[in-house]
Formats: sequence, C-alpha cells, structure tokens
Amino acid sequence: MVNSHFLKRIISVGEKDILSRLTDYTELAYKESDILIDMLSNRNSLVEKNEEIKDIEKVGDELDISIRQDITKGAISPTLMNNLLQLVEKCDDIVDTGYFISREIKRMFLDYEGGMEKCINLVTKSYATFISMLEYNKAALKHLNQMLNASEDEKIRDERIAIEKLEEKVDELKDDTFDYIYRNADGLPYLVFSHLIDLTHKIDDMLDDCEDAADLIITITRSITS
Amino acid sequence: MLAIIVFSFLLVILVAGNNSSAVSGTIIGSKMMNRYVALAVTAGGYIAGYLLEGQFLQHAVNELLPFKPEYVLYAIIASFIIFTIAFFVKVPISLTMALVGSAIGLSLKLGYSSDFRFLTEIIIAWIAAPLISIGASYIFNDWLSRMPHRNLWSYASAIKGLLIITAIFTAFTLGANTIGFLGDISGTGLINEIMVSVGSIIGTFFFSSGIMKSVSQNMYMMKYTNAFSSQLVSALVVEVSTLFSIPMSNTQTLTSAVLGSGLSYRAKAIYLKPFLYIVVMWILSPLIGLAFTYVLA
Repeated sequence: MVNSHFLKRIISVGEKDILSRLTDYTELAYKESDILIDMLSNRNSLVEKNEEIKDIEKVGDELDISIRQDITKGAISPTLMNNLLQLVEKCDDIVDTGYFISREIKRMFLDYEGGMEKCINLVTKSYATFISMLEYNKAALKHLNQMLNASEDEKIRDERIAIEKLEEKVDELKDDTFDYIYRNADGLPYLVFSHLIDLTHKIDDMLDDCEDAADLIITITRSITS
Repeated sequence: MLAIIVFSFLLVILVAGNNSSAVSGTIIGSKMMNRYVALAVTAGGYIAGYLLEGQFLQHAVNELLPFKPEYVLYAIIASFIIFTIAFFVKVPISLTMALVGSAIGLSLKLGYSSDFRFLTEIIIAWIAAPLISIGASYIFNDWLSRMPHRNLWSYASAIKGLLIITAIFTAFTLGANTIGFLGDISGTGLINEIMVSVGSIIGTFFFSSGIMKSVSQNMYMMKYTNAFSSQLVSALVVEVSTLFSIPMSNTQTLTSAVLGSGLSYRAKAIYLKPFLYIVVMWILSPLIGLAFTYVLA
C-alpha cells in the first residue's frame, strides 16, 4: 500500500509553505507600525514601546534564521532559492527598519529633549505626515499578507498593483515632507533636521521593501507556472 | 561468451551512472525526493524498461552485429574504452552512437555489408530525433506556460507529481533502449538479466555522483515546467525509437528538448555552448566508435 504521507510530501509545494510562513513577517511589521504610530502621536512610554518593538525585531530575526533553513533544506526548486532568500531578506528589512525608527524616536525625545522643544510645531506637523505614511504602510502590509496567501495569479497581480499605488502615495508624501523641512530649515537644529530626514527616508524604505517583496512574489509565482 | 557479459555489465554500470543525474536531477535538486529514494526509483525504471521492452532492440543487434561472439567482443571493448575515457574526462560521448559506429567499423573490417536500409533508418532517426525534440518541446512548453490555471499551487503540485512520473518514464525508456541494446548484445537468459539489473543498480548508486557537464547540470537548475516538458518529450522520442528498434541517445534527445523549451520563452537567455558541444559529439561519437573498432579488430 502506498504511504499517503510519502505521496503528500513529494507533491507538496515547498515554495507555497515558505510564502505562507512569511505572513508572520507582515503581521510583525503591522504590529510594529501600530506601535510606531502610537510613539509618534503620544510620545509617552517611549522606552517601553521601544522595548516592545525590540522584542518584535528579535522574533523577526529568529524567523529569518528558521525560514532560511527551511528554504535551503526544503522541497524548493534551486532556481527559486535565491528569489526566496531575497524575499526573506526584504521582509526582515521591513521589521528591522521599524526598530531603527523606534530607536530614533526614543533617542530624540529622551536624549535630545531640549532641542526638540525649540521646533515642536514643525516636528509635530512632520510626525503627522509620518503617521499617514505608516498608515499606508499598514495597508501595504495587509496587501502583502493577502498576496502571500493567494493562490490565483489575478489576485496576486491585483495586490501587487495596490501596493504599488500605496508606495506612490508615500513617495509623494515623502517629497512634500522634504519640501516642508527644507522650507523651514532656517533655525532648525541640525540633529532635528537629520532626524526628520532620516525618518522620512526610513518610512519610505518600509514601503519600498513592501513593493520589492511584492515584485519577488510575482517573480516566484510566475517562475513556478512558466 | 563470458567476456561479452562482463564488458556489457561494466558498460551498463557506466550508462546507468552517467544518466542518473539527467533522469532524477530535477527531483533531487528540488528535494521532492531524497537522493537515495530518487536513485532507487531511477534504478527501478531502468530495470523495468530493460525487462519489459529491452527485447525490442534485438532486431538492431541482429542487423548491426550479426557476427560471432569473438568479433562482437571487439565492438564491446572498443565502446567500453571510448566510453570509459569519456566518462572520466567528462566528455558527453553517446554510448549508443559509439556502439552503432563500432558495429559499422566491425562490418567494414570483416567485409560484411550491413543492412543499408536499416542503417539509413538509424541515421534518419538520429537526425530527426533532435529536431523533433526541439520542436515538440518548444510547442509543449509554450502551451504549458500559457495554460490557464485557477489555483497556481494546485498546478505546481500537479507539475511536481508529473515530474516524478516523467523521471520514472525517462529511466524506463533509457532502460528499454540503451540498456536494452547492451543487454541484447550480451545475450538472453536469466543470468544475463540479473547481471544487467545488478549493473543498473550499481551504476545508479555508485557512479552517479560524478555528473557529466551540460544536460545533467542543467536538469538540476531547471524550472518545474520546462524540466517536465523537456523530459517528457525526450522520453517519448526514445520510447518511439525503441518501438522501432532504433538505438537512440537519451543525451541527444534531452539536450535538444531542453533547448526547445528554452527557446519557447519570449526572453531567451540560453547558453548554447553545451548544445553545440553535444552536436559535435553527435557527429564524432559514431565516427570514433567506427575508427577505433576498425583498428582494434
């Protein structure tokens, strides 16, 4: 009698299992974005919130090692291995960037508090834009999550287009923020200027990574079926 | 004659080992099966092909080597030496072609006029097979890539399952054709069947690690769809050849099929060097076999 477990194993699609596991990243990054929004809007309990994000980032690192092992040991086509490893890296980068942003916010408010007070209006207005960008990031992560779970080409394509549109919106916000910061740069302490520019870049990077991850998913799924 | 059985046995070992990575490379490379299970399946395919359809090549043996065993031995030894050298220096010489060339060399040496019609059929088949493989693989892979599918993972799962079946079928056709040809040369009877079967197992498990360049390595790196279409087309061409008692090189058909499936993509980044190398060896293999046997006999 044929062992059904054996049959199941030989026709199981390792690539699908890996993509499903990557949804953990989107959930971690989503949680992280929520905390970051909270940090930007309330600016209290920054140490605790930073610790929470640090824990999330740690989980992300462990996930990175575990999924990479699964990719190299699992039933994966050698042609797709590189793409999958790149995809893991992109997903991990989103979570790592969140941790960078969290540390940056904490550092500026706790270690450079005095300097921030001088230009609080400009900072508050920039932060409001960052919150909008992070909301777009959350929406993009939702689409990425659905993309990772999808099994139809059309659905995968649609999610990819949705992510692209969100990334374009964030790009526009990024440019507007730069314009605003540069227009008001006179008298702005250098550290505050650098902090705002860094945050703008980093939040945009999160969306860029989302888009890159979406592109890699398209490449992987197309490679499987063609 | 014992010497013929021994040399045939050694050739079966080399053939089985040399082709194992081309047969099961994709399923091992993508870890659908672990190496030992895949090799066991491959060896099983060889043996099944040899035992069930190997006798179809008897006609070719009768036409090409209608000589006394002591003369046939020259052709076997010549092929063995050529193939052993090629195996260790990793040059993709086709044993089937070298062996047919050796048979012609022996006929020339002994002044025997071979069946011209059958030889013409073989040459036509050898020219047609790569062309058919390229064309059929091109069309099939193109169709497969465009095929609409509701669920991509079910599609991928089906292709993976089919890849395993195709790998078994490829091993079967190789067992029927190349190994069958060797088995028919060495004789009939239970002992001969046991020797060929044991040779297939030894070759698959112990001589498959030193893979030959070109096709075998390509099979490890191929995508599911084009690995499936290439293997299926190649195996079908070899199977049809077996039914017509034509000794056919699995390497030639597979390389051509891989090229055909590669050409079916809009963006073509095909490394043509292995294919050109195979074309050169396709011409040289029978000539080397012919010349070497002529000198040796």
